[in-house]
Amino acid sequence: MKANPQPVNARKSPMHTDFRIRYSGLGWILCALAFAVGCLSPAVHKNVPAFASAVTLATENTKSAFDVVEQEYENVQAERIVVNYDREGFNPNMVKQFLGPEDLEVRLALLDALQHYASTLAEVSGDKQLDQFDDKTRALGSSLQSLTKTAAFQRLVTSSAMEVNIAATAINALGQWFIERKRQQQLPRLISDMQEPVRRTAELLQADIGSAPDDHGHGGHGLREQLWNEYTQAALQQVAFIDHNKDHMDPASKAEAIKKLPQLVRQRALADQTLKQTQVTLSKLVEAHSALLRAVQSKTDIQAEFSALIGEGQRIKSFYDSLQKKG
Amino acid sequence: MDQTQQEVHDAFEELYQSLTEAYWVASTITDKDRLRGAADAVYDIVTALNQADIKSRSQDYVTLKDQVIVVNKKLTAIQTDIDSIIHTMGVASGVVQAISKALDFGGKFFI
Repeated sequence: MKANPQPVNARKSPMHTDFRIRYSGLGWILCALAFAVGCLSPAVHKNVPAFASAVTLATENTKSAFDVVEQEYENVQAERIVVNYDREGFNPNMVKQFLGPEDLEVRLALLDALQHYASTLAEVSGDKQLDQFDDKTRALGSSLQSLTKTAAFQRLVTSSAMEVNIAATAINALGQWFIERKRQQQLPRLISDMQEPVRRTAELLQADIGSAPDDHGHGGHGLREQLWNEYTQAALQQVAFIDHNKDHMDPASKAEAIKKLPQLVRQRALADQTLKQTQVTLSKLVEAHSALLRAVQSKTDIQAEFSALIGEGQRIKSFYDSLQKKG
Repeated sequence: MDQTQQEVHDAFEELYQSLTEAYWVASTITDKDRLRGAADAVYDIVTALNQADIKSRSQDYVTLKDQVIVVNKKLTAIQTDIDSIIHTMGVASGVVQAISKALDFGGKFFI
């Protein structure tokens, strides 16, 4: 009995299986190569956004701290001018700023530079660039697929879709290796170099914010003491205004003016707590940056390494699968 | 702020608090105005001390900013290097597409 001839595809099958084994082996070698260099610990991906948030929070809070002190300083000036007007009149020299624009500018410039550092760090250590690289390699795979389908190319060379996909996967793995190598080699040093500037920045801003005076008037300095005194001054001017005008005020206006006094006392305590909280956010900024350094320097444990290996393997697999679907 | 500066600060702040405490309990407008005038003057002194204290750190901020800018430049260089790897892949894809087109047209005319 004559055996049925095998279909062409079936005859090709053993060769393709051979290809699959050889080239998938190559894929795993490249994957292992990428892993040998190491990739950024997953903790880095968690800590970079935490640090970026801490920088944003510290920046906004610090700007607000200076703003609120400046604003209240202006208010007190205006109230003093009102209360003393009959005796002293007005002179433009009475209008002053608490902090000169150049002194505020240097602080804001440093905070902006820190924000730039945090956002660039997030971009460099994040997955966005790796995803872009995947897209570009995928596009290369598609282009290669189209090329192999042209009649002219088929007459020149024989190349299967599978070979093209394997080549694209290999290029992808090598590219990822280059990117990870660059990050792994340079980020820990840069983050380490920034530990001292970040710590010193927080220290300086905390010193600027200072502390409120105690009940004996001791230990106060900086923005907190200034703001504390500004609210006290505001209450003082308000009482003086009421005392000098109470006989000419209608009951409703008088009641409104008096009601403002306890509000000022409450606002003083609240404003001080807000500035104190800003000092806490600055401490958190330093902690977040230290945690980032620990994460970037840490060797992941076996479990984490294994997870990372699986993760990298899955990433390469899904990339390979996406080429198969297109091809 | 060193100890001597803080002591000067404390002396004026203590005086300011004494004057304001006296103001709250003063009974005549004349006494109150006199105490308020003194409190205003001491408030201005404490304000000047706080301004000087904050200004004294301004140069440190400039130095720190320069250090951060140096690190930012290095970070941007890494970002640019990675971008160039991605760009190279895009260029390679474009070249393959161009070859594909050229072969297509060539096939139509010469084969």
